[in-house]
Amino acid sequence: MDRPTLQLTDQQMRDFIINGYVKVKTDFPPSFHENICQQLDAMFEETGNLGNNLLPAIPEIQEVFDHSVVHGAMQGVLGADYVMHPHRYCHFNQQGSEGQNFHKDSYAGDEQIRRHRCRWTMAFYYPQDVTEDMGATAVLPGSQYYETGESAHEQPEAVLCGEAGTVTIVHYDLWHRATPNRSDKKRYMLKFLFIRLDEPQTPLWRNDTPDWHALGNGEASEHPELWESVWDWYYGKQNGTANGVPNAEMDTLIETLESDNEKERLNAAYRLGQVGADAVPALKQMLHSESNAIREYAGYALSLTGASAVPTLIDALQATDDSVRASAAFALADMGKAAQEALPALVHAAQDPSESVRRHATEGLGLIGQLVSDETDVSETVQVLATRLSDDYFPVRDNAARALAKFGVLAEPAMPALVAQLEDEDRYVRFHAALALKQIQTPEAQDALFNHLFTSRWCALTTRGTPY
Amino acid sequence: MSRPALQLTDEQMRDFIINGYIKVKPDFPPGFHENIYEQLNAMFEHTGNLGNNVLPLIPEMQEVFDHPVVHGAMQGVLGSDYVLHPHRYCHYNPEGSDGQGFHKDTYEGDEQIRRHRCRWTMAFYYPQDVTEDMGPTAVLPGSQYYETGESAHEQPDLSLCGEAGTVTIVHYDLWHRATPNRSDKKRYMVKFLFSRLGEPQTPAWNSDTTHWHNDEAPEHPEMWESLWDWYYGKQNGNPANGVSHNEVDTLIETLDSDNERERLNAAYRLGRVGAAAVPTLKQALHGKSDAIRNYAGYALSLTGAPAVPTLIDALQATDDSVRGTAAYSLADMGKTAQAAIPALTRAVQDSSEWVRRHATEALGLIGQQISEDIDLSETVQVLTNGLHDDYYWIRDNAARALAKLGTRAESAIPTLVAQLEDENRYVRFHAALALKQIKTPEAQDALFNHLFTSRWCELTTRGTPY
Repeated sequence: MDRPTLQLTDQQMRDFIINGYVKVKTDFPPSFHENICQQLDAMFEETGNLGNNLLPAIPEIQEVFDHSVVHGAMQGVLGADYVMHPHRYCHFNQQGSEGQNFHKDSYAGDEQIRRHRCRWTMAFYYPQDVTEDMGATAVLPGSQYYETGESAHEQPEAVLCGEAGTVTIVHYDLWHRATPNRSDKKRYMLKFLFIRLDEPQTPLWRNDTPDWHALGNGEASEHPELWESVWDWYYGKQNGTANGVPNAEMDTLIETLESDNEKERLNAAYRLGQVGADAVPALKQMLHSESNAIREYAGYALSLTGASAVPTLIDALQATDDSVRASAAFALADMGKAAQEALPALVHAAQDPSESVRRHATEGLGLIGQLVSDETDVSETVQVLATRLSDDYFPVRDNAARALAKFGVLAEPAMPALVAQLEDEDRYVRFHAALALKQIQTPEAQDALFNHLFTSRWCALTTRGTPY
Repeated sequence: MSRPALQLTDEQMRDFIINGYIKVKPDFPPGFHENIYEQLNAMFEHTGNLGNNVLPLIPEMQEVFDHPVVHGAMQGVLGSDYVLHPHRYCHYNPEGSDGQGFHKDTYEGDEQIRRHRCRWTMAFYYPQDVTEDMGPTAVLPGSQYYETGESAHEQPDLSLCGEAGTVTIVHYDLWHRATPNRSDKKRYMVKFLFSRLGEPQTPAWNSDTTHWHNDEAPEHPEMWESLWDWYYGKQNGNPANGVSHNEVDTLIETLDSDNERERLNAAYRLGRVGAAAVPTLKQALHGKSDAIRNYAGYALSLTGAPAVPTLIDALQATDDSVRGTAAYSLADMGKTAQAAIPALTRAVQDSSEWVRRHATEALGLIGQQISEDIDLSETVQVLTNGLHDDYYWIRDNAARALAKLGTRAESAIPTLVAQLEDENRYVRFHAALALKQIKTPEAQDALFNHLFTSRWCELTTRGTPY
């Protein structure tokens, strides 16, 4: 059923790409949030923090995320088919707390893969008014692209205050923290995770101009090429547009990948990614470097280069060094459709002895496979993803289930394996197996899923005090 | 996905019809039940009894009911598309308990309507061995048809002992109790409820013979046979049993007998006389005694087509209880009462909540069996209105009736979605069930949204919140 949406504007998308967060405000009556606060109070008093089971215990919270402004904003940044992830947490910041240090969150159920393209978000929901002194969540705007605390801390801290019903959607890799609560009021912040299912095809916001430069980015100039490439990605453009960087500049840029300054390294990588085929030999050398950081930047640049870098990346899947193979798999995954010819090599890589290579290859099969034309036979891809559902390493199982979800009905042969993983020892794999069954959409898959869901269906009205 | 089922035999179905229970034993390894037992211990220790939420908390229990012997038996008695009802309860019978008195259970989310035709069951599951001294559940076999404790207690008391994994499926109206636990071991019995969705069309068991026969137990031959015929998908009213006109008067008098068994037998004999008994039964239906009225209702229902005009007329009676009984009889009759659908559609808007309840159930029971060519849009509309009735048990029946109509109930989707937030938990469930049965993409999307929100993760506890 289509939910009403209030879409973001070009300006809001621009801000999200640069700063990594967008703040919206739902218009529920105050009593709606008060009810949720009271239920949270009761939860802490009676059972303690129920963690991921917060939502079935207090299902009214779902309405916040179904609200047209939240749903519309989430669609803008994560696409029409985004999915609420099964990890969520009520962050209780007590009166007099000291707060936290700035950090990036770890990925529940997955490896700690940072990515510039926004495929995961968090949403922070305040069920009560939060003022500056109440231990608001704070973010470092723009820091989602920074690995190092040094770069992140150069950004000015933004404290996310707001009335009850305020929801801030953030890029998953944004640095953030709970600030000290100096007030005499407790503060709840409910963190929910969301993931992208499809890759962008067209803008899902109220879009007036395809041109990043038309948005007036004069005042913000730190990462023009990174930002524009993310904007283009949101626009559904494929990697591989050259920007006319002269070859002469290349050597300097390659050297800059080793700079002490993370911001410069990032800019160099994104500039190199738009040189085109001429930059590939030099980037290939960097990809085989011993430095993880350099390899990673080379990976971003090769990925951005698109089709002309694909053979190099496919070759690198055969490198003897695990981390080279892993960077190559990650770069192909991030590239999406332009990496289509790498599917057979990634099918092979999904069975690599290295856990990280298998993880990236598995994700790659979903990201690329869902974009290929209907004539392309993906049966072998589906087959290998089905076998990865019983991988020893849970992030591979989690990604395999998520990749199968992206294939929809084409993943039908994986059904028996998905039904079995509804009982996986990892709770997130269980969820993604259920998600894949939902996406497969055949009557058989839906029956199996309904059986699972009706068994798992928690009744919020049923408590110790009123058991039936 | 069709689950494997080990079907019941004719002999087992005969036993169930007569005695009201059937005991089966799935073959899980002992460790399976020990795990459930430990989890129940932990529940009582950490949170107390979570009632209906025991299943999402310990979802392994679902496997017990999915087991071929349990599933096969349940199909036999409730049809192939039976549904696990959202009420369930872990009955903890502690060491040294005094046990309970025999009783019938109340219907969760519905009114206390006893019925001979089995549309609800309970299943008693033991997660540990239960011996005679450990306070097993006991039943009074055959008592499901008796309203009075006197009749029920004439039946011999039977304790349901068994190893861990034993499941006893009982007719919902069977008298039962927890016996005293004289041992030093605690006893869990996890009770689950199930309800029928489709009326019987063909035997859902491994049947070799179409005819009821039973030589050993002679108490209620006509009632039992009528139930067997119902299970076989035969419609009421055929064939007549050749009871003479003279006997009809005697039988009508017997409806007022002190002896419940005789009353029951008289009603079922009267139900097979055919059209000739209808005028007399009509008088009884409009009489002053509620008890006689009920028996007349059973007889008229069994009479089938020749009784339908009389029952439709009775829906206009001034006395609430006459209208209520008429609606109930039409409901119980099923497809043969098809001509009553317009009258029942009006009766769903009756001023009496009893009439509304029975008419609501009837529209589901009858409506689901009639041909696709017949326009049910008005029926669906009044059932949709019923989802807002002040009485939760009418809302519950309205949702269940819509579930039975399947895709034909499509226009009810928005109201069903709204009732996923009904103040009554059982109405919520039946609204979800109806959305499942409607099966359109729109209904399924709405239901998936609800179910993913409600999805409890059993691995997520206070100790391991994520």
